[in-house]
Amino acid sequence: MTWVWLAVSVISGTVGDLLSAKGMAVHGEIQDFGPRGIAQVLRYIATHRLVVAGVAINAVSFFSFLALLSVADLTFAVPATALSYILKTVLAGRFLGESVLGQRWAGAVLVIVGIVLISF
Amino acid sequence: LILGSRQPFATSEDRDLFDSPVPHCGPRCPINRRSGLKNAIFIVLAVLSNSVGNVFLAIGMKHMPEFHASSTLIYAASLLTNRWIVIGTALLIVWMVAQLSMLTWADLTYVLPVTAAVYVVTALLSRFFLDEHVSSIRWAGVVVISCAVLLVVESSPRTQKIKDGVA
Repeated sequence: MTWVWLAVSVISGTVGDLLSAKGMAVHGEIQDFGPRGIAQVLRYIATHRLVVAGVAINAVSFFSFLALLSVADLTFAVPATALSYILKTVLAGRFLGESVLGQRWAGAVLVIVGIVLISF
Repeated sequence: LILGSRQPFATSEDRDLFDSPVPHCGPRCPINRRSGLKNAIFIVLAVLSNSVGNVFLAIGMKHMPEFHASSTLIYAASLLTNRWIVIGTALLIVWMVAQLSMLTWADLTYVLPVTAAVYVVTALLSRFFLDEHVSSIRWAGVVVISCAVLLVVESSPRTQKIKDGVA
C-alpha cells in the first residue's frame, strides 16, 4: 500500500495546486487590502470552482499523506512526496503557461535535495 | 501596447512593460515598488504562519490524551478546547489564504520554492523553542533550501500571461 498512498498523495497534491493556481490567476492581482477587499478575496476562494476543487483535492493529498505515514517512516514519506515539486514544475509550464527557466528548475531541484537532507 | 492584445511582443522592452503592473511605468514607479513590498510581506506572512502554526500544533498534540477509538467525542472535545491546536489551526488557515493570494500575482513555480523557507524556519523554531536536536546533515538541508529560496526570490514572480481575465 506504500506506493499506492505515495502516488495518491503526490498526484492529488499536484492536481490540487495546479487547479488552485489557475483559479487564483483568473482573479487577477489583489490590489485592495481593506476589509471589503479581503472579504471579496475570501468569498472568491470559498466559491470559485477551480479554487474550491484545488483545496478539496489538496485535502485528499493531506489525508493520503497521513495514510502513507501509517505504513511508512516519516524519513521515507517526506522526501518521497517532495518529488511532487518536479511534477508541479513540469505541469505548471505545460498547463499554466509559466516560463520555467533554469532559475526555477534549479530552485525546485535544490528544494528536493534540501528536503531529502532534512529527512535524515 | 494594448493590454488584452494577443499579438506577440515587438521588442523585449514591450514585454517588460507588459510585465509591469502599470504599463509604461518602470520598476522605480511607486506602484511597482509597492507590488514588491506586498510580495515580500506575503512571503513572510505565509512562511511564518505555516511554521509557527505547525510548532503550535506540535506543542498542542504533546498535551493531548492518547487516542482511543471508543472515546472519539472526548478526544474531539479535547482538540477543540486545546488553545495551542486552535491557534495553530487558525495560523494554517492564514497560511492557506496568504499562499492562494500570492498566486494572483505570482507563478506556482515561484511560490512553491520561495515558501519552502517554511522548512528552514521550522528547523530553527524546533531547535530553539521545542528544544529538539537538529543534526548537522539536517542543517545542511536547511542551507540548501535557503539557497533555493534566495535563487528563486530574485526572479520575476509572474511569467504567465493573464489576458482579458483568463489564464
